[in-house]
Amino acid sequence: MSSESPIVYQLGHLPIKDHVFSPDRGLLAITKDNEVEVYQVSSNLSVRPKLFTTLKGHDKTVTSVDISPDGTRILTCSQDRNALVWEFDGQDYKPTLVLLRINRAATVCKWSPNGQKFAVGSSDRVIAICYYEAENDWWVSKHLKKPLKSTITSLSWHPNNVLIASGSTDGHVRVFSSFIKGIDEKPEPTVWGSKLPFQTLCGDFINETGAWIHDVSFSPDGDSLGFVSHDSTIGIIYPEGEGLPPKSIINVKTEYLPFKSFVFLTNNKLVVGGHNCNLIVFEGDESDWKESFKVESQKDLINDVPVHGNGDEDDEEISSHQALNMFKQMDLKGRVNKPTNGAGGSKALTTIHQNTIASIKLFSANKVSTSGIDGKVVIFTV
Amino acid sequence: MEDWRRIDIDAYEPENHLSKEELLPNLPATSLSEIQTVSKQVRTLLSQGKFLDALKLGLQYPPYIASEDIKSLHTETIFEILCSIKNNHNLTELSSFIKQLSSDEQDILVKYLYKTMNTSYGQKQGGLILSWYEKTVEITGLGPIVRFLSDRRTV
Amino acid sequence: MSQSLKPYLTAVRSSLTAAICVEDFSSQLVERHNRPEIEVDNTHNPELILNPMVIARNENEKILIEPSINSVRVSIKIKQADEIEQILVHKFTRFLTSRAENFFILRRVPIKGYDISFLITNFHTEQMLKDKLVDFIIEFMEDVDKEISEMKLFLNARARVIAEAYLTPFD
Repeated sequence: MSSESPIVYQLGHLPIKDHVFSPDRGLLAITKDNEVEVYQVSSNLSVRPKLFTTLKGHDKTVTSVDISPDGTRILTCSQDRNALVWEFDGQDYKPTLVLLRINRAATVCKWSPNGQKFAVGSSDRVIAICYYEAENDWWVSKHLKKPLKSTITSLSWHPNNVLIASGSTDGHVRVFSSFIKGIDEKPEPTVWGSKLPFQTLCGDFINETGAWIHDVSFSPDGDSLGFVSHDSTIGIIYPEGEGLPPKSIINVKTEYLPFKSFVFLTNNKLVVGGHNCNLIVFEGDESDWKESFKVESQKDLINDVPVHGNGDEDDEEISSHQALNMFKQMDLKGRVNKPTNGAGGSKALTTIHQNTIASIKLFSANKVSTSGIDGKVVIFTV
Repeated sequence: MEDWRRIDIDAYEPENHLSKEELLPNLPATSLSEIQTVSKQVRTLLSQGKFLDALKLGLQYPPYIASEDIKSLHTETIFEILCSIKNNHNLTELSSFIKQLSSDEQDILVKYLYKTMNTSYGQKQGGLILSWYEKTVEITGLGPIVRFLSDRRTV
Repeated sequence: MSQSLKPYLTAVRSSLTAAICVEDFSSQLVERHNRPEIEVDNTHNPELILNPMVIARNENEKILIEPSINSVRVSIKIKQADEIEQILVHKFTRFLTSRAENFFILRRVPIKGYDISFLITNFHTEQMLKDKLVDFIIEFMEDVDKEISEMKLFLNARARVIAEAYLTPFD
């Protein structure tokens, strides 16, 4: 179990759909409605981050935020169909509009590992691969289209900067090549394929139930691909090589609510979180994956009917009204609850996050950061 | 002029979105005779008192790709098994039956419990189905319910 | 009768907990719109709708839960044993639905075949804790039965008083 206690930042009460720390962990960017807030993070993590600036440029909900690998550029995308690249000019962040050419919401954006390109997924059933065109001083995009037919929910870059994995609401996980002449060097052959012109479909997998894919990610070595879907399962695909069916597809069924996000800690270890509001660690290899431990435990969501009360004053005399209620309950439902107190507890769950965990990112070798719909950013040691 | 406000413009771009047919999983279809055979075997097992075998057999071949008639026929078979187990055992024994099922079988059982609650005969026996449901979820947790919701392989 | 209420409510609780796993989702079909997918015509994006579920205690008491990616519709059929109860349930649900804005998640028109419907969207789950939303619906189901039978008792008592009052002069 974790040795250090988690560090909690309550940053307002609006949902934080996505968050990202800069590579040097000095900045934290979070989405908040139509804006993105940038915080300065002290090296002493127990100090609450200080609001540095607010990026205002979108006119609809911001869905995703990412910081480039060199830490200089912030990428945001929103349901207003736009993506913006923000650059720091010494005083403030200035936005540049990206020529996305999409007609529906942008749902997710990710910098490639070397920071020369980025990908934006959308409800327009395209993935826009964007790169900088120096002669026009403009970010332009090429579209990955076929055979996408549903909203892209998540994207993940292969370490070679060319392959990109996508998950969508039709239950498919796909691996595309996003090779762009003049930007990318010809990649070494991988287990996913060797010849990779733009838009090559290197893999198309559907999970057993066809449930929505919420998150995909390549393992750190890029040789396997994990995903979490709305049927409360975790899938890991191990490809055999070009043109061959995969070596194995592991599908771990769990008894929890669906997971929204996950991150690989190593090639054989990952941590998931989502609607269950707690983090769970899984370990395994290409033969099998298993749950190893829960970072936080969650109460029994079915039978633990909330018992608000005055905390430790269990033996306190109960009023006649409460006693009557208790008797009624016993009569009606054949079970006794402690009398509920009108005031009610504000803490309903036993976990730190009181609402869905929306995104999980790797913070350091043994730490992950999470952001949730309850407006919290938390750093857990796992 | 035709009522252009009501034209379904999205119908003109079928390549842009999924249809209901495309969502169906790529699985072999189940025929009526297969289901009838299973139903006969189940009855034989039940009459011999092999309740667990009957339950496992029933859950082994859910007709995912089949007409509604075939699907409801199999639902009736499952309902028969559930009734007969319940009538011959007491409430606490149900748990031991559920524990002996594999996780796939438990998922399918939950699918059938929901399906039965949506039929008129199932609603007449609401108490029976609910006690099966309660015992199942006690053992399996929320997973099978989530999978019932999100699974495109409907029963 | 009341013995089977507990499994019924437990089943409703676990089903609701599983169904209310919604997220912000912008429409795939209409530009710059964010609409509850369960409420709109879904011939062109059937993948956003999940399998509906019915939980029935008996033929007269059931609940229908229809989940989608960003909204869940919950419809309840309240027990109505006789005509008086039918009238009472109708009046009672009308009273509530005409004040729907005060209940946030109440739908103005119930789904056909049910007495009252709720619509829970991702915006509700962002503002309110899911646990409490589920509690609210369960509590509503518990209370409505009680309310109706109490109202019926009052009605009968009153009818008796009136009848007596009318009949006294002819004694």
